[in-house]
Amino acid sequence: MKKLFIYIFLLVLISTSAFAEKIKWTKCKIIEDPILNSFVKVIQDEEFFKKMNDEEKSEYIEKIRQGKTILHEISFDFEKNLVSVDKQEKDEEIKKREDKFNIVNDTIVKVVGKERVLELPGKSTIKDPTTGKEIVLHDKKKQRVINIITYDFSDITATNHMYNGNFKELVVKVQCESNFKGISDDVAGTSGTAFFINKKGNLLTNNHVVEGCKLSKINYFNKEYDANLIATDNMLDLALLEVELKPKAFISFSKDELKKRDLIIIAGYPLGKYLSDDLKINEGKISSLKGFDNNSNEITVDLAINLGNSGGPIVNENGQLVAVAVSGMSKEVTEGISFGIKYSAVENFLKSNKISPNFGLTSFSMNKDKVNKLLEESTVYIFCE
Amino acid sequence: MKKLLGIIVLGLLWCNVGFADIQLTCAIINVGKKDLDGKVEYKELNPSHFTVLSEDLGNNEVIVRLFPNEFETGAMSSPFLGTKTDSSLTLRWNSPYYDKSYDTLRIDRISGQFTLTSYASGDWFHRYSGQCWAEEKKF
Repeated sequence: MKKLFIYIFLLVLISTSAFAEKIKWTKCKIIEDPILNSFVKVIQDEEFFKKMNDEEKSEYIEKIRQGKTILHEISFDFEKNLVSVDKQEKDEEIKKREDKFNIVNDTIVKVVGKERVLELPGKSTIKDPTTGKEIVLHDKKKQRVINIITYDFSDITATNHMYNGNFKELVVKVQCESNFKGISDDVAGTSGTAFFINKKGNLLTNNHVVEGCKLSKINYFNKEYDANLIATDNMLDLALLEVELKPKAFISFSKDELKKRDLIIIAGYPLGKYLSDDLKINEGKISSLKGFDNNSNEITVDLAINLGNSGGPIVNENGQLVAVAVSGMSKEVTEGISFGIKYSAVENFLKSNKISPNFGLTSFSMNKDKVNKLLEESTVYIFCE
Repeated sequence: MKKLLGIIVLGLLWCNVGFADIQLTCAIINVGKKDLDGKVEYKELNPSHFTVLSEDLGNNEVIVRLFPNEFETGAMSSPFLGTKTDSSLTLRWNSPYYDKSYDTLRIDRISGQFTLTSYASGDWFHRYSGQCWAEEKKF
């Protein structure tokens, strides 16, 4: 019996580690260094520095820079939420440091450092509110400080800020190169989001998510299933698939007329499995009843549709399908302009392929938890084998 | 009445801030002091303002800095670390001088009421309370 338990335990261990994905950042370069910059400003006025030519000056500054910490590699384990940093002080061995990180949003994770006490020269004083006189509280000035490191995957930068009293000071900012291309073919085209539309196991997603893929697979409650492609529509960018399973829940279609400023909820896996395997749910509003280039089959929404969100459901407050997430405008130019394929266009696509859409009751209202549960049980991560 | 309406409107505005980083303005209205014998005295103050900047650290954690705007609030502690829920912010600042000395700040995100309490050796000795409301600007 004991042996059996060990086998089961090992099996679980192997099956969970098989999905572990590590993102590595290398070749990190300091791009902002206020301490060094202020030092350089000071030495500009020094006679010895003034006598140097430009080459000598940059050599001198580089020497100072070399005396600083070198970051060899930063790796992120999104299974364990751990960031590991290989760093080296001048003439010392490479040291590994591991910290737990928090996911803040689609592109940012943060490491919250331990609180520490900084001793500063001077005395700690306070003004007496009645007399206005300064009262010495302590002989030494102490501050409790916290360092917070922000890792931004949109531009592969790590920024270290020190919170000192109510000041937030930049310590250093580095930019690296990454094996995770972020907005790249790694994620786009090979993975996305799909959702069940009935109990028979029919799924909807975007055509571009499954296009060129020999076999699509879905991950449903930590189990993989093959998804057979039934029909596609290049123009609408829709694909209908079938999986041999009875889902716990499916998304029914809205009957209500869409209106501008209607509240909508989007579910999906932005940036695929690289971010986390947890379904991301966000809220926004319909901003237009037309899509890009006056496309009346689409709506415009004010929330971010990132790569990996493609094919995900956009539902109303009652969890009924309003649209299928399809694309977003470039984040470099715009903010919060994304598009979804209207449920009416999706309905036509299904009917053309002899699938009857299920319609939800308009009077049936759901609370936040129920909508979340519905989305969790009906939305899946779809990827190309 | 006008002020009350203002607080309600701003309170509702704050509710809409959701999970983004938050900037609040708060007014201290009451102060409570406990002397060494345990006798507590509460006093109403002329509203004295400070700004609260809360930054999201993920995993429902936040770092909060307080910026005193007036003389009365000149000696406020920072930064506070804590957690955020839909209904409240619960934060703590540990004194760099004494192990058992700390301040706690609790802000009710629905009513906007806050309590900022100072502790020494596990017992409170100073307590500010008042009202917060959201600035329209997000940062």
